[in-house]
This record gives sequence, structure tokens and C-alpha cells, in this order.
Amino acid sequence: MFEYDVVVQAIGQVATPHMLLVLAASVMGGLIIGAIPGLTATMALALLIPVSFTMDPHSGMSMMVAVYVGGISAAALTAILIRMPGTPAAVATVADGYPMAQKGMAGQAIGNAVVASFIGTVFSGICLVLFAPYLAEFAVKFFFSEIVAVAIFGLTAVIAVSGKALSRGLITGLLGILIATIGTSSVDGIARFDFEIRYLLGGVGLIPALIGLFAVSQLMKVVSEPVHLEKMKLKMGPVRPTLVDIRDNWMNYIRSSFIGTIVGVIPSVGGGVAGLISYAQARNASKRPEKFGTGVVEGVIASESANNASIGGALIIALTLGIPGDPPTAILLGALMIHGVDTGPQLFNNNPGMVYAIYFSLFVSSLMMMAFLLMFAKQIARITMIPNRILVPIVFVMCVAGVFAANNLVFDLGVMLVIGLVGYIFDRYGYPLAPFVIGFLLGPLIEDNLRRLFSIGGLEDFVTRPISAVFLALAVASVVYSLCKREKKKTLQPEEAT
Amino acid sequence: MQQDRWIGIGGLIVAGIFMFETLGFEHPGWGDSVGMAFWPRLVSGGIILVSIYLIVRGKIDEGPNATLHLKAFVGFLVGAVYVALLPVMGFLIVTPVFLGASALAIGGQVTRSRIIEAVILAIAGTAVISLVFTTGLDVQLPTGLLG
Repeated sequence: MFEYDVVVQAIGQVATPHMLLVLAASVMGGLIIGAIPGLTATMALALLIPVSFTMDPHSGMSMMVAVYVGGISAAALTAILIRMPGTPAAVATVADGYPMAQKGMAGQAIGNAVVASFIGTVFSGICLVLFAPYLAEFAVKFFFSEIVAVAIFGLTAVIAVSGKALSRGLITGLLGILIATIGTSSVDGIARFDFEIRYLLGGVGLIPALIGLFAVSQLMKVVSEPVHLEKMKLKMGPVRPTLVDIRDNWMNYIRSSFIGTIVGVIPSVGGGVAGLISYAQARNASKRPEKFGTGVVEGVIASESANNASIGGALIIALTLGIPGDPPTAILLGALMIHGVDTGPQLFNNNPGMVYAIYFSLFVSSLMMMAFLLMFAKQIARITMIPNRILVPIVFVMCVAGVFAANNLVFDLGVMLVIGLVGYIFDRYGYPLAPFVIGFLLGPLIEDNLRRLFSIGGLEDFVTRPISAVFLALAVASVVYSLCKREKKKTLQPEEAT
Repeated sequence: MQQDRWIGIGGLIVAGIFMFETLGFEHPGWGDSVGMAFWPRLVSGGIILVSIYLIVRGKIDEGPNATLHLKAFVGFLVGAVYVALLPVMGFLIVTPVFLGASALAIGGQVTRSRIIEAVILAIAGTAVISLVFTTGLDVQLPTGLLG
């Protein structure tokens, strides 16, 4: 289970001066992008896929993990300073972080948020190292029916991310699955849906799809709705937590990190929800719950520990089962596929070095993130004030250069633009984008394995093989639970209104 | 505005096109019994059902951002023109023009300082991105006229 040689090799790959420099730059890049309102960690990851393509897979994935850590962690900066979470993960941080800043305690709030982010990431990273190999060993026994059942279970995440209207999530998820069928069928080796365009024989590229969906659509949104930032209060004081804060909150760190890790494992729930749940639990456990929302450090710690812990949680299910827990991990999985690396349980067998490289990158990145934020929080906060007129054109040109660089095809740029336009319309009309990616990644997995199951006539495997039966039952239970919860919410809302 | 109806109509058209395409698929004579049309038909069927539901509902809720902004589409068009010109004229020629013009357009007021800022952005932005991709990452960018 614990391969010493591979671990040493992976450490050797991450601990080189060049790689440490790449990680440092990636963490800093993630911090800057994550802190800028309107730009997200997901967008940064999508932009980095083509860049990672120019590196060896280990270095490329390490870089992306570093950006992921930086992007999620930095969101607290603007949440605290200007009441605007850089990413959805920091929603709960606003509740107490901003009031603290208004009281002149911004430095203390940021310092505690940084340490909480570090503890949350490391806690979930340890869970990842301890539990992922066992889950992968279990998952490696999967045959066609199990893979289909797990992927169907993963698809049920669409319901969780569908927002108010399930039909909206369903249609974007189904469109993702449908678009993924374009190109040569992998089972038959025959072209389909190419519409006599030779560039479509290889299918719709993951890079243009992801950059279009998450970056171009977001840029369209930013350009049409300029973000009006409040004048940032940069007199924040020393950015560090007090020892008293750390001592008084040790249970809060552990509880919130645990909640974040568990919530992160659940497909498509994400850091934002983890932060909110932890915040509520911290409030329940506090000796002064009435103070929550007025600027108490416990609230900031709960939210930040949990949203960063969701990173490790999401990686557990992504690496072991190949199920994207949230859009960032969907992009990480996509990047692995583009590098030709098997995702899912086979990753642990075929590429253990990659797994360990991801582990170490997670730890090293979180350490760098903490150091950078404690040292440079004020400077990063200033960078986030770059106006849209400079930011938007530069990011768009980076999108174009990145997509073109992947295959040297102008056609891919067209795909990026079309998907970006559709993504913008969906986003404006309240249609979630995450289901599209989930469908795009899981659709081919289901089709290929389902057809292989058909070819051996083993449909009964779904019920006779215990693992597939359990996952199908879980999928059904997940759908039923989600639907019941929705109905309950619907019936409660009118009552509350009256 | 009945935005869900429009999305439903769009979904119906896309699924209809894919469903129609599958009629031309022939079974290769090997592999499974269902063939490569099975999965896309199943998914297209699902989209058609959801689309019909959306068309009937018309508007599920107002949503927080249920309006499309003209400025976003203008930005998109400018981006599309930039992309279309890239292979013809090349990255090093089109990019500075795009960066400078976009900075001025998004900024609104055109003042002397804004023009200087746009020129600096155009030159520095193009140089940095070009260097990062071509020298740093060893990838090609469209050369166009300079190729």
C-alpha cells in the first residue's frame, strides 16, 4: 500500500528548486486570482490546463493543485476587506470577517483566516493520504457494471448543484453528456456527429469547453456588470492571529476541518456549503452565539477551516473514483485525462507517483499559501483593485493563447467562443454550469462501459454484483432524498411567507 | 421575459438535430446489440422531455440575473473578430490592437491618461503573454503575416 520508492521519487520531483519555484508562483497566482472578485479558482484552473500540457504530468498537476489551494484560500481577503467573497467558498467568511474589518481588526481576521485555511487544508490532506489508497484498492475491483453504477451515482450530483429548478440543472447536465458524444465513438471506432467537419472527429476538446464555460462566460459577465468595489480599508494592522485565538479555537479548527472534509467528499456540494455548515455548528457550540455575525473570530475560523478542508475531501473522491466533486476537481480530472493519465482507481495502480506528487503539492502549497498571505496580504489586497479595463482584455488574450497552444487549432478558439456564449446565457438565466462539466466527463464513462456490458450480455450484473447494486441504490436514494428535500423546501417557503 | 421557454426551444432544436443524425448511423456488425446510436438517442430523448417541460412552464422564476446585457454581446463580438483575425494577421499584430481598443472601450471615458494606459497595456501585455507562451512554455502562437 505504501510504496517507499515511489514516495521518495515523488518528493524528489516536488522538492526540486525548479518545482518549488513553480509551486510558489502557482500559489501566488491562485491567491491573486482567487482574491479578485469575479475571477474564480475554477477559471484559473481552466486557464492553466494548456500551460500544464507543456510540463510533465507530475509537475503540471502539482501546479494546478497549488493554484487550487491559493484560489480557495485568497477568497477570504476580499470577503473580509470589502464584503465580497472572491469565490463562493468564502460566503460564510463575510458574516464575521467584514464586521471585524469594520472594527479595525482586519489584520486579525485575515491572520486567523489564513491559519484556519492552512489547518483545514492539512487536515483534509492527511485524510486524503490515509483513506484514499484504501478506497482506491476497493475501487480497483470494479468491472463494467460497477463503473457505470459509480458514474450514475456521480451524475446524481447534478441534482445537488441544480439550484432552485431541477429542470435547469438537468438540461445543462444532459447537454454536457450529448456534446461529449461528438467525435469518433471509442467503442466502434466510427465517426459520429462530426457534421462533416474534420476537426470534430476527435470530439469537442475539454480545454476549449472548460475555458469557454468558466472563463469566457465569466468575462462576458464582468464586462457587462462592472464590479463596484468599496474603497478598501488597507489600514488592517498586523496580519497574524493571536496565540489566544488559536488556543481558544482548537476544537473549532478540528470540527470545521472534519465537516469540510466530509462535505467535500459529497459530489458537487463544495466549499461554500461546507463553510456555511461549519459556521452554523461553530455558532451552536459557542459560548456566545449571539455575537456571531457581529465580528467574532470563531466565525471566520469555522468558515475558512471548512472551505479549505473541502479541497482534500473533493480530491479523495476524484482520485479514487474519478468522480468530480466540484468544478475545480472536474478540471483537475480533465487535466489528468488530457495528460493521458487514467483517472479513478487505476490511477493508484498505474500512476502512484502522480498521486504522491498531488499529496505533497497539497501540503507544500498550503504551507506556501500561509506564508505568502501572512507576509503579503496587504500587497495582494492592492492587486485585487486592478480595474476591469485592464483585467478583462488580458485574461481573454490568455484564454485565446492557452486554447490555441493546446492543439494549434483556430477551430478550438471557435469552440471556446461558442461554449462561452452559451455559458453566459445559461448563467444569466439561472442555469447552473457545473452539471454540464459533470455530464461531459461522466457521459463517455457511462456509455463506453454500459455498451461493453451490453456486449457481454451482463445487464444482470447491476443487481447481482453487490458493489454496483449498492451504488445504484445510493444513486436512487440520493435522487429520492434530494427530491423530497426540494419538495419540503417548496412547501415550507409559502408557509414562511405567510 | 420567458427565458426558460427560449432555452427549451434551443434544447429541442439541438436534441432534434442529434436525434435526426442518429437515423443515419449504421450498426457496424460487431460489438454490442444496441450500436452507437443508443446512448445519444437516450440522452437526446431526455433533453427533448426536459425542453418540452421548460417550454410549457415558460418562466420558472425571475432569477437574480435574468437579463442579457448588450455590452456582453458587443464584448463577445469584439473577441470573435479578434479570434477571426488571429490566423490572418498573427498574434503579434492583432493582440496589441485588441488590448488597447478593449481597454479604452471598457474604461468608458477616453482621456489622455487612459490612452497612455491603453498603449502601455497593448505593448506590455502582448510582449509578456507572447514571451510567456513562446519562450517560457515553448508553444506556438498564430504567426499570420509575420509567419
